[in-house]
This record gives sequence, structure tokens and C-alpha cells, in this order.
Amino acid sequence: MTINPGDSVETSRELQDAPDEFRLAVEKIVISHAVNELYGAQVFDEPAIALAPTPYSKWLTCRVAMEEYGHHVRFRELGEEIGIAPERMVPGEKKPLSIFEFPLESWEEFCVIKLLADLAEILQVEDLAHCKFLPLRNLSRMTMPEERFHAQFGKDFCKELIQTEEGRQAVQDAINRYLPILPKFFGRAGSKNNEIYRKWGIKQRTNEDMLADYINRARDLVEGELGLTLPDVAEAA
Amino acid sequence: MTDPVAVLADFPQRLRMASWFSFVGTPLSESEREDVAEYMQGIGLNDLSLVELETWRAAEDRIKQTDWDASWWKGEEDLRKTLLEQATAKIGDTALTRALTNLSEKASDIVHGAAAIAASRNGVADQGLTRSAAGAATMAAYQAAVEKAAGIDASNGNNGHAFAAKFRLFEAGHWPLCVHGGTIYVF
Repeated sequence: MTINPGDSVETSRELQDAPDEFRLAVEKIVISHAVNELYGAQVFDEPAIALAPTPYSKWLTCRVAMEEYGHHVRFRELGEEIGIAPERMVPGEKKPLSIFEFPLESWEEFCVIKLLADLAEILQVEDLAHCKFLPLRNLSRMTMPEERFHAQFGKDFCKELIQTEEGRQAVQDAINRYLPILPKFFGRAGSKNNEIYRKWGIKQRTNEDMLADYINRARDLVEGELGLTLPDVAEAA
Repeated sequence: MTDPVAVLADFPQRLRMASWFSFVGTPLSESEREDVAEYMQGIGLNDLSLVELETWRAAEDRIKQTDWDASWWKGEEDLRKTLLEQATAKIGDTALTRALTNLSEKASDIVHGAAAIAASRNGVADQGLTRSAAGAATMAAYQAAVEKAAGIDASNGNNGHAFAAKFRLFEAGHWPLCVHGGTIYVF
């Protein structure tokens, strides 16, 4: 069986017969998601339980951490199914994204991370929801409702926080410091990897297109819904 | 080193068989009241009065208050850290982490559905509240597993161990909420 660009690959077994370029591209994406979901849960979600101000928010954060961890497990299981060694799917060999280098010190920062970083994750998952490797497409569709809930969590708590002037300033300050890190999440402009992903229909959009869409949606959220200010895109990029 | 799988062998079954959130809002039995007392004493809180809440909305309102008693959370955290150190010394870091992670994962899968069903039976369809309930139950299962792994038997009767007692309340379908103003609230 010959697999050409634009063809769907329905099973992990079929992927073994796919051209190396397709197979390796799928592996890169699965590894990246497995590593980053785990690292995100470890550096942001778990520590945020201690920062949460009420029993409700502590347990909700605990649940969110478990869901992010669950995403890691799902990507890792798919990775094992397509022959990736487990040690390649945990932080270590593969360096986590720079968005995780932000030092988490307050509840306001965590809520902004959920608001902005999980919106970025939603865009990635939306793109993979049309992936030509169908097990990855299905996994991303399965993950989507939880990612949407996490972004909603960020929005709801940010809305609550900005009811006071002090909270409003803290949320705005966290947005000002965190947003500039986020464009890197979408990869470089003119990326060779992205070209390969699109050639095989693994991803649908360029990194530049995704980033532009993200900034527009983040602006709608931050300025339209929260009444705060999104730092200049030029400054952020 | 002790085998963590053997020490925690009965936990997956207990997680599956627990009546998560199915008895919230109903009066506590005498033995459940004793579990509440044992749980509180185990984390260093004595002479608290007990209030039983009857509705999901009353429970939500209580756990969203910011003026809860921080000594309750601190008491749990201090005990958890002590027990985790003991368990790590007995079992080893890697094996213990793997065993606790597997259990938390199992608990997490089970309790969210159970909380959502229990809430919906009472006309509550609030994703945040059911997820928060699931987070609380997962945490309780994790704490009880740590206690057991530390060499303290969490499975049998009233033997003076806070997290075992707390877990028994969840197993019985209740949700111990929080401490506020000298009162422990249970749903």
C-alpha cells in the first residue's frame, strides 16, 4: 500500500508502512504533546493547588492537574502504540517549551496561564482535529473539551479577580509578563517542520497563521471580555 | 524495600466499589460521625462542631468562601508530607511515585463520572462543581494510599488514622468539605 500526501492513515499499524517523513513527523508531534502536557502539569498545575484561595479552587485545580496529566498519558499511550520509546516522552531528552520557564508565584499568574496558554493549546488541538493520521485526530478531538474547560477556568477566575482594583492590576501585570513568552509556542515563521506537517495533512495551518489567529482571539478575550489590555503584538512577537 | 503493589493491592477494588457522592445530603450514621472525629483529631483539630449540609448549592457556597480555616489544610499537608517521607523510605521514590500515580489516575477516572451523575440527579449540571468534587475525592484517595504505604493500615476500622477515616467517608458516599469557624462541614 502506498501512502501519498493527502491520504488518511487510519491505524497505528498502517503508519508503519507510511513514508519515513510522515511517520517521523507524527512522532515529533506526539512526543512534543506528551512531554509538554506532563511538564505543564508539574510546573504549573500541581504547584497552583497551594496557591488557590478556596477549597473549591484547590480541588478544581487538582482536577485540572489530573486532566493535564491524563492528556500526557493518552499521548504517551499513542506514542507507545506507534513505537516511540517511553523515555522519549517525558521531560529530559526532549526539552520542554520555553513557555514553562515562567516562574509561577501567585494565583493570579496561574489563572492568566490557564487563560492564555490553554487558548494556545486549543488552537493546536483544533488544528490536529483534522489530522490525516486518524488516531492522532481522534485523540485531539477527545482532548478538546477538557482543554476548553481549562481555558474557561482561566477566564472565570480572571473575571472574578478583576472585580477589585488590586486583582485587576495583578491580572494585567501577569498578562504583560506572560504573553511575550507565548508566540514561541507556535514555532518559527517559515518552519521546515511545519511545511512537512502541512504536506502530509498532519497540520493544516502555517505557524504564522496560527499565531495571528491566536493574537486576535487573545485580544477578543483580554480586551473584549475582561476589559484589560493585551500587550502590543510587535512587543510580544 | 516493600512492594508497593502488594501494600496497595486492594485500593483499585476499593476505588471501583466506593459509593462516591451517592449519599451526599443524607444524615451521617454514628460510625461516619466517628470517622469525622477521627479525621479531625488525626490532623490535630479537636473539639470541632459538625454541620451536615443537605444540598449541592449549600456545599458549593461553603467551599467557595475565602475565610475557611487554614489550619485544616495545613494539618492535612503536614501529615501528608510526614507520611510521604515514611512511605518513600520504606518503598523507594520511583516505585512509590509510580504506584501512587497509577492509583490517582484510576481514582480520577472513576470519581468525575460519579460526581457528575450524583449532581445531575439533584438537578445540578455545573462542570466546575463536579470537577472540584472529583478533585477532592482524588486527593482523598491519594492521601489514604500514602498513609497505607507508610505502613499504616488504611483499610480496617477505626484505628486512629486521619486519611483512612476521611477516605471511608468518601467511600460511604459523603464529601467532607472544610473547616470554618470551629465547625467541620460535611456534605
